[in-house]
Amino acid sequence: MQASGSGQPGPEEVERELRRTLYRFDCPDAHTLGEYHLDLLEEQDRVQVAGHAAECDECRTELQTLRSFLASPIGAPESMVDRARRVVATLFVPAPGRAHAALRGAADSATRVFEAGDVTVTVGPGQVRGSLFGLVVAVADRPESLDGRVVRLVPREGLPLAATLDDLGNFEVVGLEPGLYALEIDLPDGIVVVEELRVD
Amino acid sequence: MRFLRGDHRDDAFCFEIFQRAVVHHDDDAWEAIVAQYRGIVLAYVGQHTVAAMLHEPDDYWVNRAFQRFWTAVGADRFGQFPDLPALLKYLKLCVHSVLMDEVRARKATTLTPLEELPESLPSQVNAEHGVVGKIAGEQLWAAISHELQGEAEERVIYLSFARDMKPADIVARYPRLFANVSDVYRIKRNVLERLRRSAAIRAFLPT
Repeated sequence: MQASGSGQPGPEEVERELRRTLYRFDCPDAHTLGEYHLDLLEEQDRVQVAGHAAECDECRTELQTLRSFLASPIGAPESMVDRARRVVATLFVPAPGRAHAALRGAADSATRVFEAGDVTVTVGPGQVRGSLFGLVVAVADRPESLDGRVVRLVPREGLPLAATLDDLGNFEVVGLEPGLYALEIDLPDGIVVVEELRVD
Repeated sequence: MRFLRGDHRDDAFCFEIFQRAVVHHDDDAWEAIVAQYRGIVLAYVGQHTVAAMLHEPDDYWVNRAFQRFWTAVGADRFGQFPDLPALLKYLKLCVHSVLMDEVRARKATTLTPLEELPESLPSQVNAEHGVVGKIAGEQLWAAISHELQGEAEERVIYLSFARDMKPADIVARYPRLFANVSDVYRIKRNVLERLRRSAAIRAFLPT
């Protein structure tokens, strides 16, 4: 701290030090406030914090922030194995195939080819509205190893629809409502995910 | 360990890992928890309204949140958490509390609106100084209280420095003590001048 000419600190220095040392010196710390909110404090501490919070605007604001924060959804745990195995497929090239409005990826063409490592996933609209055809080619796997593997269409809201691969890697999902879906394919070495498919 | 084999989304396995880490001080279990929940804690940090204002890497908060959890939850307290959601909620509280500790520490150095928080703390300030800072505050306030004359002075100094209230807010809260903001400014100026000359107060100030 700088002293004034008389050896006394200047007014601004005193003010700064008071702010630094006194700011919320008698407030419960943020963690204690949080434990109060979660009802984890002993009775004596709980009463003390409640009394303080009743007359402290800063603590009430902090509690409100905590309430909002805790109210936001807690993510579901996902196993390490799942995380390690999930591979997001990226759009490889829009096939120049049929013009069809039922299914859209990143571009307008109806059929899409996605790649994830040595796995190629081709998806396109089925014969009837609300259906989806696909072909999965995994270079590292024998075709018959794909037989019976599960394919899931996971909507942003609601329950997923599932289908299985045949021995050539084909699948078909029917009964899809319009909307955005994620496509998940359980393969021997992990889960390949196409994160966004729009079904109109 | 079934959890590590990937028998996933069964809360009982995850809860068991927490139990081993906390109650039995199993380092492997603790490492598994950090590996398993690091992503979730990272998401918590991203959700919090103040994280972006503090300009620190998210990983910094993730590490501090896990440290806070580890420090706060011992074997003696594990019984307070009946299931995995309760533990995860507490982990989320740890994210909140380490962030708010930092906000408080930075506000103490500037007392500016949250949006204008400094990007880092001055080197002499440590957001984890908690108990020491609290004691220092109590001692300084006790010394200041001896220098104050009457309720109006006490309200002005306490609300200005301990609660960061603006003069207009002080007047609004205590209209019987203050006719207008000029009253508050005058009292504050007079008291600061008195404190500046006080040997007892100077003893608290850095030389």
